[in-house]
Amino acid sequence: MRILIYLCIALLGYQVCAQNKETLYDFTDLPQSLLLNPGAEIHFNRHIGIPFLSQIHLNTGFKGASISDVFADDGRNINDKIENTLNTLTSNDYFTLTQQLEILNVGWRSKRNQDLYYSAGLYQELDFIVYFPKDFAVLAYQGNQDFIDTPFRFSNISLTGELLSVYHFGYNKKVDKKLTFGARAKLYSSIINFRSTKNRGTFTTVETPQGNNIYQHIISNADVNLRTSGYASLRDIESEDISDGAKQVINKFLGRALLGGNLGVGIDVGFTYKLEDQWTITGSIQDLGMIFYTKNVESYRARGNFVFEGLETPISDGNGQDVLEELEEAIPIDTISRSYVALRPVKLNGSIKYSFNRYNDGTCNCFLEGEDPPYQDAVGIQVFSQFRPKRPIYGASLFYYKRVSNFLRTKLTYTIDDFSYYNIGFLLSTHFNKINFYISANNLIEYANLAKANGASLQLGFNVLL
Amino acid sequence: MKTKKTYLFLLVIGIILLTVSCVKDLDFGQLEEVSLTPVFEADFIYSTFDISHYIPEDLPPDTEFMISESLIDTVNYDFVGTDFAIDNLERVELTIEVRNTIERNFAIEFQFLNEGDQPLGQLYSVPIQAGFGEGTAPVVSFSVPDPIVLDNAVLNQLADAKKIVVEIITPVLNTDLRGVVDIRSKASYFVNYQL
Repeated sequence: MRILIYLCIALLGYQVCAQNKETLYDFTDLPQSLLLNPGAEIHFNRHIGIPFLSQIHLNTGFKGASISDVFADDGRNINDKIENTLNTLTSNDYFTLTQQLEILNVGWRSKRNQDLYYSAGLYQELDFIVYFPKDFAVLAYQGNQDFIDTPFRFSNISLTGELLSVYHFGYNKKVDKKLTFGARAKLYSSIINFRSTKNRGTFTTVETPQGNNIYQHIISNADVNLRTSGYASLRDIESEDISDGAKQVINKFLGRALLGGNLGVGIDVGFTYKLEDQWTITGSIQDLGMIFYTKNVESYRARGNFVFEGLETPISDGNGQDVLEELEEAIPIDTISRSYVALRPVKLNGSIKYSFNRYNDGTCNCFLEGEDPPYQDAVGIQVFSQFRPKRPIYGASLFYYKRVSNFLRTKLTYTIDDFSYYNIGFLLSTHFNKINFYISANNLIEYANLAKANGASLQLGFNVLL
Repeated sequence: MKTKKTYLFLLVIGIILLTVSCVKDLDFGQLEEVSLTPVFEADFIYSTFDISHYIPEDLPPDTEFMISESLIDTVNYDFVGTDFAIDNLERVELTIEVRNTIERNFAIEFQFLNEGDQPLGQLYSVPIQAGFGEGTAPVVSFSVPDPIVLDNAVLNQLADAKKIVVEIITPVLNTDLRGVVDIRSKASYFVNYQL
């Protein structure tokens, strides 16, 4: 109980901005742009990401409240602040955590066809989202006394979590001067997965003036499930030595990351199209795929109806009344080992860009032979969407790209999404000889005090670009 | 040389960007003050006593009789005895409402029992006023006091409670009497959970 409450309060402390990488998208100076749009128009011949350091991405948050709302040192009673925050949050608010670590990322231009660019790699991803279970948080915090005849909905319970490794191979082709098309095949190896979605049913305390008792407590059409894969075998690890137990867990994770987990397939597709010389549109779909959970699957499902009217006396059968036993009979919890399939959270990106201020002073050796020098500046609009268990989330950004010099390229974004109307992001990419370092963060306005932030996202990495 | 300086400068900016991010003006010590005080309403015991089920068939009209069997029953009830209840229940309020249409006074008595059926705490009694006969509006009686409050001290006495024994105390009845006694009740659990 205590842990659950701590967790709930901790969850209140964050806000969210999903997996939108608005600064990296269409930043074609970096090979990571190919992971967001396999049809990005890139201008290098080869790239090698520094293993384990080519992209470190972290994104966390909570839509609807900030850590400051609850823990601000403002002299107000924390219980009042929790209650206010509880009243503000809805069941569509959620906590999310996304982390990615690129382990390997390489790319090369085809020797036979200079219009073809291949890329491949491996990255690890953690993606977790839990919607705020408003109804049951209210029930736990305030009880049901003030909520007679109000249904508490099990549909409020919705969460997914996945730790996986992704092997990918991408194909990027400059079809003609206007169109660049790309696709990326992905092989997923899930390390651990759990999901509880599409739950149904209600719990209601109904006043019954003409009934057997003062109330009826009704669980109606309950259908609550939790699917897990990769969890059962971890639970079965028995070790008195903590370090030995941790070692066993790591070994299992490594085995699953190396294609020993539940496998799935997916694809990214994308394009870049030049409307005119200076106008460009791009679009991409990421993670259009699914994972087949067949190994180490353990799911739980509770279904049924139950009405409690109190303890009846006299009892006709003389055996006494055991309410919990009756509840377990009415709504049994089944443990199921059946395989399941889950779609990956599809992400959509799109942009329109106007480039200007061509790099034509003759000092730039930053483009392929036969091509025009690049533009030094660009402005545009980007949109982003990601499918989530309850509904898609959206974001829209204005951006300004500035190639300060061969050495330094930057991008400034202003993003509006479900969570914030003033999210400023900034990417800085340095190119020193063939070594590239980039760092990007958003919510810069709140960066000095993340407690008040609507979200925090950070990407950084090193590449060798040839 | 100039390029190197610029490069270093930018790296420093990047590092500063990372390090200046912080979380200010927060006091996590407030967690110690967090208390959850929900109030849960739940049905308690209920029963219906219909006098027609107890009138002996062999007795003539307008004859007085006593119910030979005890209208007593024991139900499992171990909520106030759980560790959570002992540690976190501030009080429990029992509201008992009895509707009577039988023209006689009754009473209900109940008491908490431990696993071995030994009584714990006091015996609670609820007097039931006589009604006006079958088909009339029932006379509603409540516990005295209303509600019955089981405060923390009482709850500690009931720490081993596993059951409740309930008895309907019946007076001398008459074969002409008709009507029912409906017992309805609820418990309000006042939780005070400190982190």
